[in-house]
Amino acid sequence: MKLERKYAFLLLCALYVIILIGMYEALIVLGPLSPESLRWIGDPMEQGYRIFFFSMPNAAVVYLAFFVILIASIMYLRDRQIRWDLIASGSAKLGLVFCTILLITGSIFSNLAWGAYWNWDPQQTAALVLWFILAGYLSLRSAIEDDEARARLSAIFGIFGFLGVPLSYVSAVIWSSIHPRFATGFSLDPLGKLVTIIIVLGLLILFAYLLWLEVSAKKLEKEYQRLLSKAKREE
Amino acid sequence: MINEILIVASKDLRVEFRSKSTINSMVLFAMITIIIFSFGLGPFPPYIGEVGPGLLWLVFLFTGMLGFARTFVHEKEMGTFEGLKISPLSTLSILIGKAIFNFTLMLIVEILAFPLFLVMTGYNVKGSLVLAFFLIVLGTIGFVIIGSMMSALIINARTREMLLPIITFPLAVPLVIAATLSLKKVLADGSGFSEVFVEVEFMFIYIVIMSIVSMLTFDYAVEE
Repeated sequence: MKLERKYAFLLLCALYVIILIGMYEALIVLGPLSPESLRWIGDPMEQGYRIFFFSMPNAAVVYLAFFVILIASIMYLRDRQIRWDLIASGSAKLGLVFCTILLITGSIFSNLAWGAYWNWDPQQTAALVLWFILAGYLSLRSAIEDDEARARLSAIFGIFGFLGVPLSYVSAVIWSSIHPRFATGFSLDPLGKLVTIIIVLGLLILFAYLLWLEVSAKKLEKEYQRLLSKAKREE
Repeated sequence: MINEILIVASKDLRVEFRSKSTINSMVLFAMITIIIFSFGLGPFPPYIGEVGPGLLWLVFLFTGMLGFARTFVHEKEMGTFEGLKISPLSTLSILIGKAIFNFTLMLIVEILAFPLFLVMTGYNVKGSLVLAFFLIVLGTIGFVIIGSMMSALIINARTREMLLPIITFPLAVPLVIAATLSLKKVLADGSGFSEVFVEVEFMFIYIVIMSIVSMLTFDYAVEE
């Protein structure tokens, strides 16, 4: 446990450094967008495109969260260790938080680029569906009282939820191909791509750190409840 | 295997058609929703061609939820679920049998609700009705699979009937998008099969993926 905490502290330091570097690069080092890349999107994007660096990396974290839920769910159904369930549920909670941030920043981006907070482009639509899948996962969990049944049934739903990632994206692409309203996006220069990678990395570490915190807190809670019921029995 | 599936499906159908309680409320619910939609839209709404297929699918989704919620909960409440589990039937045939039962109920609702909807809204059908009904049935197959599977997950939950739509609809969204889109193309734009092929393909892939995963995970859902 002690060693684990030391690693977590190092992870936290690395996280601060990476995210600070990323934010510095995204907000100060990078210049405004060039006029030719502004041809297809709105003028506010000249400076406003920087919101991209705080929006798209969240999508990477949401996809990671779904992947973690899938793996933890399969592992739970295989060997019935409660820690897999804790990982899956923690990942779902964090995924919901990051998905909310993704939706909010995504609609700010959309408003700057196309003049509407919501324009049903495939990324936005898919993110919305994923938000509802995560919310459904968590409400399924909260409705089942028995620990074992909750872990087992939500693991099954977690596997189905992962299928929702590609399916919702593909269907959103089919859907929006009917009404091609907007030319998509803009291209980043190499430095911009590097900044994106840095922030994605930072957020992935943040996700890992928060997941570790959540799982160890839940473990302590379980241990506390076990000791409490043991003490009551002895009385 | 096929025998076992038919045993489960025919047992459920026999129980259902003795009381007809679920199918009656499903049909009535679908009808009342359609009537309310046409009240809400006013007589002969000009934009019905665009929004009609979406409304029709809403009716089917809500009606389906009403029926699917009973699938396993009914067995649990009557105490017959244990009997079903210890019977020599394989769990897979229970799932498929239940899905066929739900599909039959949905099909009855759709056969009655689809013409009613077209008549009540004064829908000007441009494409082939047979193709439109085929698309509805294809979408229903996928919806029934995911609905039956999810109804197995809620048997231990507290707020079952409320929970089912919350966990089923997000997973059904991709299917509903494809189903609504293709239905609109056929009914409003008069498209032929080749123009809705992408959606049909997508619905087919959805059905295959969801069936495979349901078959792999259903064992875990009913064990205790």
